[in-house]
Amino acid sequence: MSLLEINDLHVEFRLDAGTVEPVNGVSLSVEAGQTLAVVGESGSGKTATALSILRLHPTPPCHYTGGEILAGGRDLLKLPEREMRRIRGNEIAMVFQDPMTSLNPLKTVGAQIAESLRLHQGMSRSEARAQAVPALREVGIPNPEQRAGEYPHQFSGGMRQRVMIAIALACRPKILIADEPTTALDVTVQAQIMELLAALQERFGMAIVLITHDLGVVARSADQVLVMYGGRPVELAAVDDLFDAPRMPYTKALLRSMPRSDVPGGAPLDPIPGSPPNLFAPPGGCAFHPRCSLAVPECATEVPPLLERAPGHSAACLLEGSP
Amino acid sequence: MAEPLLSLRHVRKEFSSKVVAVDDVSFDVHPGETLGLVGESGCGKTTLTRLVLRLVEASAGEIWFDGRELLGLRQKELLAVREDMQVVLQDPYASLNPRMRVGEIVAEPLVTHGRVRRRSAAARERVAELLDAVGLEAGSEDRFPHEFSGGQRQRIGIARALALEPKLVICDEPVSALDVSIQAQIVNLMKRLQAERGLTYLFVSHDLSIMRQIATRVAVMNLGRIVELAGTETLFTAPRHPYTHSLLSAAPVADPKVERTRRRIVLKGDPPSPADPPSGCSFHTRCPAARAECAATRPQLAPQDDSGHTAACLFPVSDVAALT
Repeated sequence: MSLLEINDLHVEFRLDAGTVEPVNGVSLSVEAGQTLAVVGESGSGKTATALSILRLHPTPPCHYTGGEILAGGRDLLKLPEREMRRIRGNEIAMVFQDPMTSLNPLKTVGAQIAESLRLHQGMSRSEARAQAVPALREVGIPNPEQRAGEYPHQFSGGMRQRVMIAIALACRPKILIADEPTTALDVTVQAQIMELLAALQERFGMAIVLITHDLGVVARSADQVLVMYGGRPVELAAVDDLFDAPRMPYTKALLRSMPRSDVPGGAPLDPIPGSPPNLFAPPGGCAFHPRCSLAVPECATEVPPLLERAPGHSAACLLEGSP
Repeated sequence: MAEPLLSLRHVRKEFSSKVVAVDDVSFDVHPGETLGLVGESGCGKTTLTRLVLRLVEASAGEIWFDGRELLGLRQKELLAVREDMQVVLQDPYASLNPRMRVGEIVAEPLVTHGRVRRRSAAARERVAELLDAVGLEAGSEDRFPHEFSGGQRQRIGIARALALEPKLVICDEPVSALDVSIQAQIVNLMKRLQAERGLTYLFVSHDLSIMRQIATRVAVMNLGRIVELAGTETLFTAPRHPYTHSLLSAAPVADPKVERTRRRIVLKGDPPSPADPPSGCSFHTRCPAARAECAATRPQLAPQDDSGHTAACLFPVSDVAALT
């Protein structure tokens, strides 16, 4: 059973410069113990989707104009703000990209872990403080008794991200949203954090929505993958199917264009021409058609729906025909 | 083999904070090749490029470029040498002046070095030629940087670097800030320009996949030192230093089947602080194969074969299985 289900979500940002639709008809679902990776380039709408789940976009300029976000039998888009606050950090938690700007520099890390426990679990100050130490131990921070009393600047980048994960997991959320959790980290530290997330997921069985631009990270940790382009979902598949038999031309081109460290150099790379679309002036029809080598005239006028083309494998492309 | 275009000998940079950012680094860059410098943040790779450009002054050592020793040059002589040595920077948003038109940006090195007069016909002609060479459409010279995407801005930065027809182009993470679908465009462009113009690149990146696609040889840095240097294919297929093994094993590969089956080294602990480096080998605190000697003796780069492959490790490792 899915812990989180999004159906046809539409989000608009009404800005002085015009209205953009960073999330345009996104549907997804994640089950307990599973990881869904949402992958795309800058401006694809992957982070806007992630922030929408917890309704973290400020309104205005953001408006949730359609769709539903179902978790625990409720539509999160219909909940009053007070209810939402009970869900954030409790049932659904989030880990952000940059652990330095996401932690409060004026509070000890122990106090920051305790904060969510006091708020959501009604623990007393001393109970919550006592819980901070095992929470730090759980994420592999050595010497947690002492570290709980230290401030974020006393931690390295990788250790700060462990603290963020400890805060996120303190209330044992059912769903964890991780927005580029390893992008700001060095590659050897990235490997440690990914290993940690996998181990904690195995232990607590939470569903993870992993937002990333890195197809290597996807290959290493995802069960399901949703590819986004220009605010729209364009392909959804199990991880092996996506890499073995991509169906949407954008996914195919992206996989072909990627420089790989396990393939000898020498031959020129196979780039995707052009640039990702400008959300203020998105191309008509399929957002990828100006860059697509297979595009036919209809691609400029018709928005291809995301349809199931094989069991568990959906793609949004007119060339796939009707299933 | 031809004389190296760039030679570093025992270069050291100690900042006033006592942090040794670059420690006893020696290497050669040959004409027409791409020497890759790879390492994690704080390893000293960017400082090294700034030392070569003399944007920061070395504490010790020699840097030879095209037959001249740079560290002893006076400012005026240095300006002349820098015509042959240009730089492409990481952030195409921060490295272009937002108030200058693209034409002025690309012409600026030519004007500074007295090749053309500002806004002259010769300047316009040369700019048009350069913009065409990097794949920007005619008319781009009259627009401002904010009108361009990240990839196009990096093309502008490359055009500016090529304006003086330099021999050496120092590239500091030139594709790291770009979207994946754009990185391949820029890598291909840089390779084509290198072939057409006989350029030599000193190419800094933390990204091993980019490195494998562009570098002729790769030097791996850790905490201010080069720990391994080899031809690119040798480095990727037969590394000897445990740090190189762990970098390669940590980098995720975009293939779920490979990811499930490969042996992975997950290092223990944090990278040490450059302000307080470990004794002996700088990697021994995290090295899965470290022995007692590693904490006492600092290993020097030593030949691993007769191809020029060198590694600084007391107990070099061929088989990754020994580290997992």
